[in-house]
Amino acid sequence: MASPPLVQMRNVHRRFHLGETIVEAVAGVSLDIHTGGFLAVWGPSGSGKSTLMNLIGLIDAPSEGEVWFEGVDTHRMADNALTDFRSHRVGFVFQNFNLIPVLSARENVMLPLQIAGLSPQKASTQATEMLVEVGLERFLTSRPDQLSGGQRQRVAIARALAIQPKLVVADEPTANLDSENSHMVVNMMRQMNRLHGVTFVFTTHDPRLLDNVDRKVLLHDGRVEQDEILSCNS
Amino acid sequence: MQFLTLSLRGLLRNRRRSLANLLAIALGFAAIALFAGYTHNIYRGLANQAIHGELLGHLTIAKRGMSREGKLYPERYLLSREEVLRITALVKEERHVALVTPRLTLSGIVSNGRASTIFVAEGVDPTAAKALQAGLLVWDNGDPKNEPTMIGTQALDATKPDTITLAQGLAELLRLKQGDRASLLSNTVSGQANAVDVVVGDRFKSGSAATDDLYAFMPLALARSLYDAEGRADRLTVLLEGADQTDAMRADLVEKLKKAGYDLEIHTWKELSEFYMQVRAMFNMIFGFIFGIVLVVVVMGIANSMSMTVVERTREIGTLRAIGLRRSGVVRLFVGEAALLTMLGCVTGLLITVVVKYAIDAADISYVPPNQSGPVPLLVDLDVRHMLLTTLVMASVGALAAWLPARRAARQPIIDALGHV
Ligand SMILES: Nc1ncnc2c1ncn2[C@@H]1O[C@H](COP(=O)(O)OP(=O)(O)O)[C@@H](O)[C@H]1O
Ligand SMILES: [Mg+2]
Repeated sequence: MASPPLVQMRNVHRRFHLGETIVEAVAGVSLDIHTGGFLAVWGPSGSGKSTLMNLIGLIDAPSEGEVWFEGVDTHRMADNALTDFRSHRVGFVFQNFNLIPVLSARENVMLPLQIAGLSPQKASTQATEMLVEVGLERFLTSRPDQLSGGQRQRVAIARALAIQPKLVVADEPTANLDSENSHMVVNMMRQMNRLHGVTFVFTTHDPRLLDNVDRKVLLHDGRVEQDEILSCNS
Repeated sequence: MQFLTLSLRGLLRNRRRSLANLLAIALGFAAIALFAGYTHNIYRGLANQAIHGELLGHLTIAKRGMSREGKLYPERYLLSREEVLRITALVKEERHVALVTPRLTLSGIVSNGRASTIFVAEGVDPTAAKALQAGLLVWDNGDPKNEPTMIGTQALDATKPDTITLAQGLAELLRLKQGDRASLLSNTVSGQANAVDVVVGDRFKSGSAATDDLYAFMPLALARSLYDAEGRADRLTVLLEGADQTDAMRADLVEKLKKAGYDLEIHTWKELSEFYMQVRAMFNMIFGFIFGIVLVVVVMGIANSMSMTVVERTREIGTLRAIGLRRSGVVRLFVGEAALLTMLGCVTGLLITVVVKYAIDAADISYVPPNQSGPVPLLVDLDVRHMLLTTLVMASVGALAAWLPARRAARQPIIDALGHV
């Protein structure tokens, strides 16, 4: 119970300069994310979900406030150190899948492993295991353009989980999928969360996908409007 | 690393662009390699011509100051009989020395009985001259169409002590044919006038318009007697087993002869063959020019296509950065892609070079180069050293051309890269 939160956001602001005007996409968010949770951030378009996810995933830095990860103040880290930190701890699933088109499914999953320094043999073995786990054992050598949207997002999930991260950040992972595939993807993430204990944070603007989560954070104009904890499994 | 795969596949994404670049690099490489191969062949021919044709041998040993003041004070700079014998013996002790022979140059007036003109004659031992020129007969891989343009000593004969040879222009000036008699007038070492009667043995092409009505060859013994310099020589010509030993042997001999108490100057054939050095300097300049142009074309092509590639793949760069690739990794990826492209281009260029080389060789083209009295065949060598150098420079420069756009891409914020459409 007393373990520190995986991610701690303290009064985080993120402002963007658009010519003369300043847009405050995240306007003072304080949020603790605990290990093992399955958390959804929802809210209307433009409410700052993506910006918040980028900050949680450590690919963007706050204009004001602090983001602590595993008790480390990430603001103080140099770019290379932060990049390496991220490569061992955070997996990403994107709305547009963002798979490398010239690499096969397995090679895509191998990529973060090799970036983290694994040998090609080890990376290949682990990538294969991951793809089997998401049910794509028949598509190891398929290129992304030979796969359906749902299959692509499963490859992306396998890629995110390959490095055995602490946290997977998924910004609108279902926005480009039909409802059947959307449910499949969310269920798969939930399954991985339970199986591996990996913390998941994902965003959606579709309330129907929120049935299965531990916690729902409703965002509005860059502020947390509602924070519902539904089950205490973290 | 999988990055090589990634680079290679990256190149295959935009095949047309990569192919255009590859072809530009390949053609540039071929242009450089063919020109280098052509000049290499020219240098080889000129070296052979200088060493064997002009009888320069590899090294020339003379008293210090001979090359500057020898003509003014012959007595002071001629090697004595003892010096000739002693130095020859010392040099012959060395390994790699194939031949040491004394030489004596003199000038004077040649007359056919009615008219006369000046000449410059080279006194050389007929047997040694044959040995010196033996190398000429095998130049250019023994290809028989490469006839030497200058075998001035062909008709010199140890058994015919008064037979000399004249350059074609000189012979025509005096209307002297083979077997005609002529007389030579010259000063002796001590300044007395002296004359001998000679027989014209043969005529030769001097290989250069400037010397064609001036040059003559005569047996060393005849030169010594005309010059009243028995046993003496103005220099010693040294032939080695191979031209690549020239500089090392010079260093060895300088040392050795100094220790033996002689104050001498030793020149290599390159230093004495002004024509070789001039041609080389000119070709090197042209080579630099071509090289420069090709490099500019390669750099611009690669920089341009890499800028486009980097923009097209912005979102991918964002993804790779998000999942843990450092900025330097992004740079490496694109620089690697450019280096790979350049290398492939150079390999293609090598193939083009080889094909064109054999086509040119087979086409049997010949031409008259400047300052030559006859046509020479147009041939191309494979200049491996220059080709390796070219590959290296092109790959580095290509990588550098990719480096700037890659660095720009690597530096942009991840969220901007990911948001790019
Ligand atoms: N890189 C950016 N530059 C400028 N404005 C941005 C940028 N990213 C987001 N915004 C603005 O911040 C607000 C929140 O955007 P976003 O986080 O994408 O919301 P959501 O994901 O909930 O739709 C929007 O008004 C958007 O226009
Ligand atoms: Mg969004």
